[in-house]
Amino acid sequence: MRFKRSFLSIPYVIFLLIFVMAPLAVVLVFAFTNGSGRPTLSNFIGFFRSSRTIATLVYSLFVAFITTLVCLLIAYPTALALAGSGFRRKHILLLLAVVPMWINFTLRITALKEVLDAIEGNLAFYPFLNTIIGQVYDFLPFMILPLYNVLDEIDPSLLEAGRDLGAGKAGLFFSVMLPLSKPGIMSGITMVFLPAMTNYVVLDMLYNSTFIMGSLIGSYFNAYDWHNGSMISAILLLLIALFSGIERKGEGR
Amino acid sequence: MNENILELRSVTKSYVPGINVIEDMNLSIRKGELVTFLGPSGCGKTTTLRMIGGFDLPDSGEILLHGQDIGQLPPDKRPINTVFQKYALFPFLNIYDNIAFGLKQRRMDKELIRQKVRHALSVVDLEGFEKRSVDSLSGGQQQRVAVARAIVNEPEILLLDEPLSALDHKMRLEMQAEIRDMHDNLGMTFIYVTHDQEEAMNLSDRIVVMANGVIQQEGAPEDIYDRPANIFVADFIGTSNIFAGVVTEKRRARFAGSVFKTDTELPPGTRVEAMIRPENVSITGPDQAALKATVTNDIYKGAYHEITAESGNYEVCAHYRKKLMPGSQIGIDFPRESIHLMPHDMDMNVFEGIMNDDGSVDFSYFSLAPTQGSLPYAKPGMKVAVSFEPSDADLSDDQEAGFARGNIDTIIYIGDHYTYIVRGDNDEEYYVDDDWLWNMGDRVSIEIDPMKFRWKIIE
Repeated sequence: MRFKRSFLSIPYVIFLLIFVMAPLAVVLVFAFTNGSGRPTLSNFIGFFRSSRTIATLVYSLFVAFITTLVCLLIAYPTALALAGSGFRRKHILLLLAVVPMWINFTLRITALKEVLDAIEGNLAFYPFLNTIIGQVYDFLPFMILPLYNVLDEIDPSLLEAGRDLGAGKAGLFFSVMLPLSKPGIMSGITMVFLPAMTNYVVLDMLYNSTFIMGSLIGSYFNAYDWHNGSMISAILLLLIALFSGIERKGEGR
Repeated sequence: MNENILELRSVTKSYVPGINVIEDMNLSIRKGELVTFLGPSGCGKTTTLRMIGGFDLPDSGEILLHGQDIGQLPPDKRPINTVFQKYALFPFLNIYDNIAFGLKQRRMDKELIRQKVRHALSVVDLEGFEKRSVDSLSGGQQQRVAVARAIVNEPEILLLDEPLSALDHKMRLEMQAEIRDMHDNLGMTFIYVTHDQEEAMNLSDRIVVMANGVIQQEGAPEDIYDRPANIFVADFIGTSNIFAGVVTEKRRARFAGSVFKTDTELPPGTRVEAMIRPENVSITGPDQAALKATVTNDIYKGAYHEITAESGNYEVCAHYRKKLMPGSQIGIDFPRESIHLMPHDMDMNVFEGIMNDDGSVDFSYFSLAPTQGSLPYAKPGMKVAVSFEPSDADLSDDQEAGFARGNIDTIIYIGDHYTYIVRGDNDEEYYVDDDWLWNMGDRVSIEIDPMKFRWKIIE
């Protein structure tokens, strides 16, 4: 048999089957069966009947939304300053902005916890604020990077064209800069919003009392309720697919 | 039509201290004119355009629009619009919104915008393209949109920065004609930047030829072609035969190894460059003309043969209606009215060198140290030039007295003094005025007061 280029994909296909498709299938099977292995929709219906799961879902979306918004508000001016910097080796400045990513995530949050504890006296005083600080600290580099990439690539003559056609500084930002950086904003949101919705480590460590989607799944699995846990995972998956679809449409224009 | 819409007064611009991209530029542009800035890359033509557009600000001098200095205003405050080199269309907007951009910034009434955009599209011949995206258009179409986007704002002046450089040759010729038509129909003032002399010839009412940040010549295309101000212009525009020479007596000049009658008014003794366009060179039998020459090459160009011939050390290019075999003997003459003499001022006594760590400068033939303060911004490793006036230098037979040495090569008598061309040991030339009579071949050194040297940073 002659070697074909498509053979090169075999290792990846095997990897995909074992580590992505198979677990997905297992999750789906568990989500739609009950304890005795019979197919059922009761897990699905149960998700929407339980006020606890719905409240957690809404809360997760809310935390993720605030996290993304704060990240965007901090990252945009930062990326703009980095991209516009006259510094010859500006990638070093960028490196400084994303270097926290090199440190282990749990370690970072533990350190943050100590710092916040020292400042606030007791973490329980501002649980929500602490969560947002932790999440933003964690996800900020993922927002800066795509924004920097887009802003750095902007053709200066487009900005000059904007000025030439009568746009003042604000007009230039809203009519030229922002539309041009939209792809970066979109991928930044993907990189932050979806993980922020399920990232329970920050909440666990900085805000012990409330659950986020990730920790809810964990709590079911810890109680050996594979079926309900799987259903929540499946629904989250669906939500993520939905968000990505909306986003791709937004980018597609 | 004679009113000046734009005036540049003593405009100077530098990006690096000590190196002027534009040096003391003065220029007037009349309302409704189509003016082209023509020059090689790095000559300052784009910088000048950017200063008019407001993207760069002059360091000193004034840019007057209707007599008002707009030199320090930002681009959005000037009634001037630009067609950018790579079009700079907004990729996130469709054609309609691209063209409407400027009008929307001015918060114009929606219906009025619609009418104006439609009209602009009809001017550039793109009716029905409103909803198309920028990527779906060809280069030529994008070019038209860029023009429409600029003219829809009805600017007082339209700037075009090498707008056709990305198009292929045939498309370029078509667009040149269209831009010319558009200009004539709109009655707007156009300032056009290009490095393509043919394009400048085709388009312009007036051409401004630039080199090294200085205007070399401005005039109608015919003026520039027939009567170039100096050898740079002669060489840059079209093909030409250029010979170094001197005016020997009234209306006679010696160059290319012979003396020719000319129409020049330049006084005897003036060093000149003589320029003759190939189409004006007359070819005769070997003994019927001023120069005897041997044909070295013949290239058929369709309408004529391009002949290259050698006469002594000189090479002459001529257009001829018949084929001439290489090796054949011919006579060459330059008709009196076709000889254009230009005073020789371009590179007399100019030498380039590199600055050393100790502040002295090595030239290929000699070494000098700039006097205090004459080169304030120069740093070691920079390329600098030194020049001096022939009248400031003197000849000496003491070999150690001067900064450079050589043998006298040419003697020109100019009424009350002589001008000598001294040929240095490396074939370099020094022009020196001296009251004393020296002989051909005399070994001399060249003396000059160090304060009389003029220094300049090149890069």
